[in-house]
This record gives sequence, structure tokens and C-alpha cells, in this order.
Amino acid sequence: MNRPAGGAWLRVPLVTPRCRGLALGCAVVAGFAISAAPSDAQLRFRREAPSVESNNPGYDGLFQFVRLRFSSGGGGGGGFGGFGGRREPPWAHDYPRAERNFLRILDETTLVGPRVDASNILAVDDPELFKFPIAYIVEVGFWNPTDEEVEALGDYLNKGGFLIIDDFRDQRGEWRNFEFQMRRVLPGSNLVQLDGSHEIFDSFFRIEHPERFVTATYRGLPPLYYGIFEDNDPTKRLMMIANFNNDIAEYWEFSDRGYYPIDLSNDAYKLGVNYIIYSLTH
Amino acid sequence: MPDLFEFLFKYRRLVYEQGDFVFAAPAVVRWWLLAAVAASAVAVASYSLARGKASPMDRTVMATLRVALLGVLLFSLLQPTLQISTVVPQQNFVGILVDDSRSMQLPDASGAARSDFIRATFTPGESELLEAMAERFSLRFFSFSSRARRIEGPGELTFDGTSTDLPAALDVAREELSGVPLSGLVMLTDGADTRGRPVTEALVPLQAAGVPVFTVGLGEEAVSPDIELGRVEMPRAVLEGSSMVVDVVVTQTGFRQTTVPVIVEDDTGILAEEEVTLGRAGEPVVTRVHFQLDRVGSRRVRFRIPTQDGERVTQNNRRDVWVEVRGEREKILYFEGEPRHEVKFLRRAIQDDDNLQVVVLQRTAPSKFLRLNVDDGDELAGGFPRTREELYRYRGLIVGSAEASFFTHDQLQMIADFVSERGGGFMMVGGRQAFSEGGWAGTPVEEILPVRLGPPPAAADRFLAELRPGLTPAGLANAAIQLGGDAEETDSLWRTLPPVTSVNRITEVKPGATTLIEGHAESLDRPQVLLAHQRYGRGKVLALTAQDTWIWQMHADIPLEDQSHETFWRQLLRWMVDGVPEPVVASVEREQVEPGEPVRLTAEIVDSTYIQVNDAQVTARITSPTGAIQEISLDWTVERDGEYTADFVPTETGDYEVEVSAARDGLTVGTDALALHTARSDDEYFGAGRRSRLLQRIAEETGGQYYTPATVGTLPDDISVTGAGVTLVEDRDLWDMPALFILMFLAMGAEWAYRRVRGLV
Repeated sequence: MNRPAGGAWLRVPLVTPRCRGLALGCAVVAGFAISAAPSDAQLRFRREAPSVESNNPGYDGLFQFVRLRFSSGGGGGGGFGGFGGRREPPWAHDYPRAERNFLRILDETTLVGPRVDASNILAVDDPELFKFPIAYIVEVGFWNPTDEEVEALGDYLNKGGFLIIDDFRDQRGEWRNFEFQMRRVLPGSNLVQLDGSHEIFDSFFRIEHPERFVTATYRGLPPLYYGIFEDNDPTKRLMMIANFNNDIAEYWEFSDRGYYPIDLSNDAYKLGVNYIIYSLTH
Repeated sequence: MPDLFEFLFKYRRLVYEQGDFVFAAPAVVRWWLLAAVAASAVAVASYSLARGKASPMDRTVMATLRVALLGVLLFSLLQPTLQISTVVPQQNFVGILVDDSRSMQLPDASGAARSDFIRATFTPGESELLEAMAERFSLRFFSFSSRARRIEGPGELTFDGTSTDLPAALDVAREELSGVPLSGLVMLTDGADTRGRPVTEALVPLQAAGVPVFTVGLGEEAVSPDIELGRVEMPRAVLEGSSMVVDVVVTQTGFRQTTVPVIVEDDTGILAEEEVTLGRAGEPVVTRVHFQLDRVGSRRVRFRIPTQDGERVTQNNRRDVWVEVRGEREKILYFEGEPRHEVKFLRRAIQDDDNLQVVVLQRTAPSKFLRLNVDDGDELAGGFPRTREELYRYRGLIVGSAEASFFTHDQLQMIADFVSERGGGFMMVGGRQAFSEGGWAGTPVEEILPVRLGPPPAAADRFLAELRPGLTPAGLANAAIQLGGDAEETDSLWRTLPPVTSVNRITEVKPGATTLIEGHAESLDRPQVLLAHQRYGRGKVLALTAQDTWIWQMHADIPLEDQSHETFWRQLLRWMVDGVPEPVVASVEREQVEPGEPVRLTAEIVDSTYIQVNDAQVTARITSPTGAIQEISLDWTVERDGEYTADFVPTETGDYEVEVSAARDGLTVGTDALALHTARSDDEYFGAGRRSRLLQRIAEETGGQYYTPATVGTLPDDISVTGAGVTLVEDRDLWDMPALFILMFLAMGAEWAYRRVRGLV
């Protein structure tokens, strides 16, 4: 593992020179958003109703954010469907503000040069997904894919796709559902817990203790990071990373609202940037 | 019809060509002849003036015939003469050079070997030709095959030489006979030179010395029926596991439209087999064979066609080629200016290839880099190499989407020198900051690129096209981009690959560059150059204008088990660094020689910046097949910087190992190893037909004559009149040649017959 030249380190809470740049980036995001924000105090849990495929920009050679859409009542893992009380489907949490804000930060801090004016929502079995080798999925505790979706996602990951899993916790059997569905997608694979020594936490920012990033909304549940390695070989690439007891997109979504400390928002962005850089290079 | 010519004109045409024509009649006779002419005029007048039955037409015809008769008579009385220089008997030497190679044992259609003619014609006491020559000249015999030497007579010939070197034979004979009056050289051979040295080198001194060469062509022009595996083009060294596409040239006579297999095999068994349908007689047919070499070391690859019924020569149905299969790990530096999927998928494509190490220097932010696959913490710690020593450690360099202004001018020049001087492989990959879009036009790197760069486009004119790949004919023939087992399958597979995108509009390659893959789109008026290459200086340059070849791996239409993307990158990178030189490069002219044949060992030595050095201590450690070790020093040639040579003679049959090492000021510059194989050669059986054109050329350019066994009988006379050496001028009368008497007879007879027909007698 080679530490990147000039790489910054994350110590929570700690703001390095690089972090200051990121903080400035957060401020920029805030600046964009505040002008359009109707009422900060009331927005915390008010989600925008997501529109779907019609807004997909389509592949144009640039990096684009892809959020996976799913129905929670599909195939056989059963019993975890539905999402208590919210108006939006579970896969749409934090959409679209989370990715919009994150893409601006990604554009500000790296040379990825993503498309910042739009992002994609794709079904798991949509052939278009294969044109975007990095995908993001949330609330997998309620994910219940069909057999076709399982097969498609398995092909996607085995061909070289990378999946970022976010926003699920050790409650209501969410872990069991996630584990069960991943075994359907990648039979024989092992979910391995990752610590700060893994290079995904050093691909752009140095994040020495990712476990210290505690999500306020999960009321102190210990954040854990799980991955599946290609061929179950830890020397090979990660095919996915799961933020368990964690919800980094929550911070992306509200980084311009002032609900969370700016350092925590920074840390959430750092994790996201690292995931993207890692998956673009590994 | 030389015989008819000689009958009518007394001497052969060659005598006329060599001699000067004069009239030898003394002046007083001429006056009498003038009087005779006057008398003829009177006679003509009498024909014209006479009155009788004859019509004016009759008189004109008869007068013409009579004047013609008197004209021939006049010509004879003027004593026409040929003045010619002829050699003085027994005052001159003639060198007789006899081909002593194996091809002289080949039988013709009647079963007689070429050597039989030599034995029959040049055995002392049994040959009229030899006696006729011996009467006029002092004869000196030489035998030649791979080397030429003086022999006492044809009895010493063995016809077992394994190669033929015509120029060397002429050189040796000329030098040996340089101190004596030499009338000419006679060369008896089939003309099948197997060394390929230009014969002109040997002809020029002969022309200067005025020594004619008389060539006698033996054997048939074409050996039929026969199949010959003529040529195999293969690199001398390849990386282990590299795919190879080898062109095999097959010629035949007597097997038109026959389909035969070309089998490729090594010690382990059959590597490939390809059917080839033979063309017209003498017409070469090229077939392309695909195979892979997996075991490291010096390997003999045999190409062969099974012997067909009735074939006259069976030894030319196979070719052995030696190839060094290298197991090194080729180190390639990939500098990528922006994080993008191409890096990941390229790394994945070659991750199982033990012979490729792609070191990635990924710029992730304006001043932030990620290093991957480095050997140690110091490698690339300062970013992109700033010195030649640092850059030249790599054998290949890939630059992705990075703007030219990122590099200093020295670094840009260094990249160009990496190719031209170090001999490295370089590739630019398409992207937002590549080619014109990255400001590369006008830089030293543009010079080395195989494609033409236009001016940087305005931001509003951003180009983006989905391009469906298609191989050009050159691409179909290039091993680096073969995806299938043969050309058809490869072509078909490429057509099924999904389109990729490019943001760099490039439609032209430079002169000397080759387009391998084109990108097609309905929206484009001209195809895009998707992959092109050219050689530049000592190295190779590729331009890949696509920005997302990873689509060939990820696309939904590509099956999970498809290996097209992996194969493409593995082969392309292997090809890019194929033949990249190291500081010490040892070579021999041919990997296979005869036991006892001198071998010239050459080494090219450069320092760590790839500048030739002339003060190195270079030694070769040679291990023979039986394990005997010999160490020899190589000396700087003076003619070329950095070139060292030494000669040695392998005496054993088998495989020699040669390790060349160079040191300078006590420090090792580098080492290189090669294998040398000694065995009897079958070269003589290839192209075994008579090379009449070459032999005619040798004769014509030196003032000699070309013969076949049927025409060689005039050789002694011809040398007498055309040869050099001690000569005297000889007058040869022409007044008594039969042609003149026949003319006179015809004129008289015609007049008589005319009178009879017309009733004038």
C-alpha cells in the first residue's frame, strides 16, 4: 500500500489543509443551495419527490452518478419490504440533493470532472447500468431484488462494476436482509469488515479511523464498513463497500443546511471521494 | 540457330561481336575493281540498249540480277576480313569454379544429378571439352559452397556443402589468380546462392580487372512436382504467452489447387495447424498461422507441410525457426491525468499477466498523485520522472488524459527521446486532455505521434462520437489486436464489439504510420483513426483515440466470460514493449550455423541514458553443448559508436549459450544472453531451381557468356576470342564464307531461270 504523495489524513474531528479546502467546498455547496432554500428549519426531513429515468442524462463519456432503483417486494429474501411511514421509496432517500452536492464537491476537490448538472436513476437490470461502472444504493435493509435483478447485478460486479451501499443499520433485520441478498448476487462471497488500513481509506484522503465517523441519525450505533473482495481475495479489488450503521448521504444532502457540524460533513464527503477514486483506479 | 549462322558466315556470332571488320585488298586491286565496275556499267547499258524479244521489264530484272552478282564478286575481291584478338595458347590461365553444395545432388526429371554433368564433362582424360580447354589454357580448379578453396581437380568434389556463396567464390578465385594472365573464370553452378550477399560486390573488381566470367547453369529452372515452404517471418524474441501471427509463404509446382496443411510444432507437440490451398505454379501463397509460445527459453519452432506423393525434394517442406521466449516482467509507466475508468479496467485486464507490470501514476487533483504497483516507496515519489535515468527504467510509457502543459519542456523532449533514443514503446490514450484537446500540437511529443493533430478545438466545438470499431487490412494482419484464432474470427469478433466514444477527432495518420483500427459512425463523413502506430527512431508509438475501451468489458451485450478487453490490452501492451532494447544487446547474424562456421558476435552498449559508449569492457562467456566454457573479449568496431564485435568458431553440434556482459569504470552496464545453434543446414534444398537470370547477369556484366550443358561445347573457342590475358591480333578471311557463294549462285541461277521462263534462251 503506497500512501499518495501529499495525501491528507482525516482525524475526526480534525481539519487539515486539505480539509480546509473541502470545507471551502462545502461552503460553496451551501452558497449554491441556500439561495434556493425556502425554509431551512422545516426542511430537515422533507424530501423532494424523486423523478426518475426521464432525467437520466445518458452516457456521454463523463463520470456520472448512478443511484439504483429497486422495489422492496420482489424475489425471495423476503419479508422486509416496505418503508415505515415515508412518502418516498426507500431507494430514493436523500435524492437528489445528496448526489448533486457530492458531485460538486467531487468536482472541486479532484480532477474526475464529473457531470454535475444531472445524475442517473437506473433499475438494477437496466442494460444502461453497464455504462456506469460505479453505482450507489441505499436502504438495502428493504431491498428485495428479483432473480433477474440479482443476475444482472452479479454480472455488473463481476465484470468490474463497483457498488457503494449506504444508509442501513442493525435494526429491523436490515443486516440479515442485506447479507441474504448479497449472497444471492455474489454466491460464495464473503462480507469482510474493513478497517482504516485498507487502501480505500487512503485513495485520496487519509482516513485513519473511519469507524469514528458516527452518524447522528443512527443514535450512536457503531459505524462499520464491509466489503466483498474479488475471488474473496483481500489482495484483489473490492467489488463493493457497505456503510453499515452509517448514512454518509445524509450529510451530503444537508451539508448546505447547517444541521450537522461542518467537520462531519467533510468526513462524509471524504468517504465518498475516496470510494470514487478507489473504484476508478482499482 | 548458331550452327546455321556459323555455316553461312564461317564463324560464330560471338567472333563477329568481338572482332573488327576491315577490307584487306591492296590499293592496286581496287583500281582494277573500279575498272570492273565500269565494265559492269557497260554490260548493264548493253542490256538496256539491246533490241530483241525482251521487254523493258525483262531487261531491268536481268540487269539487276547481273549487277547483284557482280556486287557479291566485288565484295569478295575486296578481301573482307575480321580482325580479332585471340589468346596465345598455353600463355593464359582459366579458373574453373565448381559448385560443391548439396543442391548439386538433386536429380532432374530423368534421374541424373547435376553433379553427374560435372563429373562427365570435367574429368581429366574423359572429356573432349576439358581437353580442348587444357590445350589452350592452364586450368585451375576451385570448389565452392559456404567457402571457396583451390582444388587439384574435380576428383576432390564431394557435393555436400550446406550453403552456397557465389560472391565469395568469385572473390577467392580472382584473388588466387591475380598474379597470372587470366583469360576468364568458368563457374559451374545451379546459381542457388543461399547467403544472399549482393553479387555486385564481387563483380565490380572483376570488371575493373577485365576478367570475364563464363557461367554454366545446371539443373532445371523449376523442380516439379514440388512444394516448398519458402519463408517464415517470426520475431527473434517474444514474451512468454504472447500471441503470434506468423506469415508462412508456400510455393509449388505440379500441385495446383491442392490443399495441404501447414503444421506448427515445437518440442511439446503441435501448436497450430492451418490449411492452405496452393496457387499457380511458382506463385507464392501466404497463409497466416496463429499460435502462442508459453515456455520460457530458447525454443525451436518447426513449420512443416507433410510430404506429398511424387515430390522431388522433401527437405524443403519444413523450416525451423529459433525464438527466444522471454519470461521477464515488462515494466510500463502509465501516467493518467484524471481519474477515470480506463485506469481501473486496464489494470484489471493485465492483472493475471505475469509478464506485464503497469506502474500507474494517477493524478487525482492538480497537485496530488496516486501511485499504484510501484516497486518501492521511492519510485515516482517526485511525480512524473524528471531525469532520463528515471524514465528510461521503464520499457513502455502510456500517457492518458493529461494536458501537455503539465509537463516541462524538458520532460516533453524526454518523452520523445524515450522513444527515439531509448527505443521504448509509447502510447497516447484519448481523453479530454489528450492530443489536440490537451495542447499537444507543437510539442516534441507531437513529432513522434503517428497521427496528425489539428488545431485545438474551441470549447463550443467539443467533439463526441460513438465509434464502432473495425479492423483495417493492416490490423487484420497484426498479432497485437487478434481476438480470435484466425483472421476471420478476429474480424468477426471486432465487428461485434460495442461502440466506444472519442472526444479527439483524428482522421489522418502521418506518412509511414499505419492505421490498425478505424472507428465508424453514421454521423461522421470520414472514419476516425481509433488505433494507429508507427516506428520512430528506435522505438514504437501508438495512438489510441478512444477514451473508454472499458466498454468492451462492461457493456451489457458483452458476456461475462468474454475476454476481448483483456486480450486486447494484454497483447497491445506486449507488442508495445516488444523488442525494446536494454543497455546491452547481443546478437549474431544467424541463430543457426554450421559447425566450424565462423560466427560474428555483436554487442551494442549504451549507458543508463542510452548514449552509446565506446570505452566499455565487453566480454562474452560462451558455453558449448558439452559444457566447455570459453571467454572472449569484444572490441569496439570504431565504425559505429557503441558497437563491439568478436569472432568465434563453434565446433560442436548443438546449442551454445552466450552471455555478454559489459562494464565501465568497474561498474556493470548490463548483460544480455542469446542462444546459438549449430547443425547441418537444409538451405540448399530451398529455391533449388536453376537461377538462370543471376548467372546471365554475372556473365553479361563481366563480358562473359552464359551456357547450359547443351551449349557449353563452344566454351573453349569463346574464351579464346573473348578472354583477357596474353593475346595477339589475328586476321580472319571472310571472302570465302559460304554465304557469298550462295548469293552468287542464286543470282546466276535466278537470271537463268528467268530467261527460261520468259523464253529468252
